[in-house]
Amino acid sequence: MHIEIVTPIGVKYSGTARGVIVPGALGDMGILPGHQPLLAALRTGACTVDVEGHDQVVLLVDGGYVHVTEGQKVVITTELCETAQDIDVEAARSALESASAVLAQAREDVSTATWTLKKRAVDLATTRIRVGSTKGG
Amino acid sequence: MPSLKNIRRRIASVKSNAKITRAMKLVAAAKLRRAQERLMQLRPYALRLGDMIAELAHQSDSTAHALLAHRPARRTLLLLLTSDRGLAGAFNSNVNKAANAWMQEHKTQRDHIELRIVGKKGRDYFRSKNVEIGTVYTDVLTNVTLERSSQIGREVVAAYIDEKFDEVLLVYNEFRSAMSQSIRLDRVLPVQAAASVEAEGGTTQLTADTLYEPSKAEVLDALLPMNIDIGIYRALLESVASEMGARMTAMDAATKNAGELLARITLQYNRARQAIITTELMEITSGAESLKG
Repeated sequence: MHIEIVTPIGVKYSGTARGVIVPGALGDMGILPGHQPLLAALRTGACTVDVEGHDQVVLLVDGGYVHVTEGQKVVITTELCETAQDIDVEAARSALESASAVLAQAREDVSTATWTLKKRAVDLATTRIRVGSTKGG
Repeated sequence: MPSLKNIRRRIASVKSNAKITRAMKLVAAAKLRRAQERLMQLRPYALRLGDMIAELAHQSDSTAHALLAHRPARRTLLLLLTSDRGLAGAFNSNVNKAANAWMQEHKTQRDHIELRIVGKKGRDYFRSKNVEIGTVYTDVLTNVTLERSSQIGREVVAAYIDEKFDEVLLVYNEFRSAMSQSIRLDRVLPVQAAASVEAEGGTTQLTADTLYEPSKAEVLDALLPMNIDIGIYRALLESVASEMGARMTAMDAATKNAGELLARITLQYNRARQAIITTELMEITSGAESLKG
């Protein structure tokens, strides 16, 4: 099956694969050839592509949608996609620390908007660390 | 015949003009490359999103979402994309005229047509025609971003859902190549049926029973406005690329014309100079002649 990940700044991944695991909004989903047509929202998370004849490729996707047509074609549209090589794990670690610090002491003094923002930062940093540490593996 | 001093002044002025047009051409060329690159990067994304919308719209009827609702077109929102700066050939005047022509043609069939304009040139054109203008965005073009486009998109979507407008049109220059642009008049809202999206190069085979997650309504709710944001973003990028292409072509022609003009007045200058030398020589020889006698 053909996997394609497109972002507003270009096609980030394109290739054939045995399957793919995507971070669906309601939970991770595995998609194999012959899958029923699907249009699903994604959350911030890792997307694992099972490349034919290779190891798995792990990429970060920040929300967006996955579209499966004819069971053979998977298109993921997302505003942000990063490969392990793109990610600075150390920077993500410090981002995670500062964001979780705010969340940890969050009571009524933190607005909902700030909370959402920090929660998103935590999700993004956690995924970055996870995807980034697959580098060279 | 103008004096030598006058011709010299003219030559200097034409030369400095040519320098400016040449510099403007180079700047436009560099900006064009950047704009074109961003446009090419965005196109696959816009196309894939279009595929998803096509499938969604195909499997939903017009009551499924407020943005799919077709109402009789009585109040229209016309979003016009122009530029902040001139000296770009017919770039602005073409798109302004197209918008104006559409408004003249349809004003009898509509109760109200509101004009929202990106760029100072569109504002100036319609202000001089005493046409009422809704909103003018002048801060968009220096740096076209998805965030700013989404803000405009959200305003448009909110107005449509509030039934302030029954249709939303987008008039802009579409980028063909550095040399050519074409005027597009796209219907942004209500969302088009699948057939027209496919005609624009979509690749989906429409299937009957697609699975939606979390639910069809939620997917519709998120994807439809997002597609409008992307559509506006893309049109803005198309417009900027067209503007730079048009300016590059116009400035290239201006530089060439300056060169031709320069050759002509240099010839004129040399002729005048030679005439003066000849006159002086004649005076000297005739003076010498008269002394002999």
